[in-house]
Amino acid sequence: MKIETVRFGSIEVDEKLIFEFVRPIIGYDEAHKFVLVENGQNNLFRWLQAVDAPEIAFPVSMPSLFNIEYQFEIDDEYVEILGLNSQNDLLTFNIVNIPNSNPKDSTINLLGPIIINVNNNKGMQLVLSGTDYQARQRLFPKDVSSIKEVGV
Amino acid sequence: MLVLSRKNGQKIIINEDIEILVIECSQNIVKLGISAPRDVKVYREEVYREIKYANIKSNETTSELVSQLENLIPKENKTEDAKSVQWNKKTKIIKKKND
Repeated sequence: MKIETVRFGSIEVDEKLIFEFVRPIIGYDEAHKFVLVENGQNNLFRWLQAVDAPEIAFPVSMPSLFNIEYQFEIDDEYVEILGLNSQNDLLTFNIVNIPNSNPKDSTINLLGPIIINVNNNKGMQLVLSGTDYQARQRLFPKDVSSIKEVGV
Repeated sequence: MLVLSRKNGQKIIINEDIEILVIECSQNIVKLGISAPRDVKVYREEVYREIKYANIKSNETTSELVSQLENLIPKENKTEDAKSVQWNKKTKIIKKKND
């Protein structure tokens, strides 16, 4: 099916790969269906694009791709809501925030991971409790000199 | 705002299907037990606000900003096939249509 998006124009998506969010992305209760869109030069980022709201999309990534150690537990309640039977069916990623002023200050939301059961495409934004993970964890250390600049 | 006083072990009932139990109240901490139907979302306020703020900021991101961020990342991080495997785990990824 064809969906309209603000960032990528009109794109074709496979209906079998649409995630049904059983709990919303917090602040975006109106969007229940999302797809992952590949748009860029590498495998570090994807976009989580709302199917029914062209303007709603979030860049997402995985902490492991930035060598950030990360682990969390999913309460039984949510395991049940998602119908998760096996850890192999679990796809998790995190929303990234890139400030307009300086991409070096980009952060990843480790406090509210997105979890998807790829077996039935049910997903949600989990809210972790009892953890020190932050909603805005820096992707790069604050020391700017430690970032290796790479040309386009 | 409705203000209620409750003792340890007493409850508040909201809408007939939400129960809030004062498990323990001492010094500066109130421990509450909340029983609610599944579709009722319960969050700690500050956590809810933090995540909501991060989500809203993220939704303001443009493709250009993602490109700028990508350019900050060392090349060796970009090319590993293993990284795409993590994404592709069972789901195929939808590619942007070139037209």
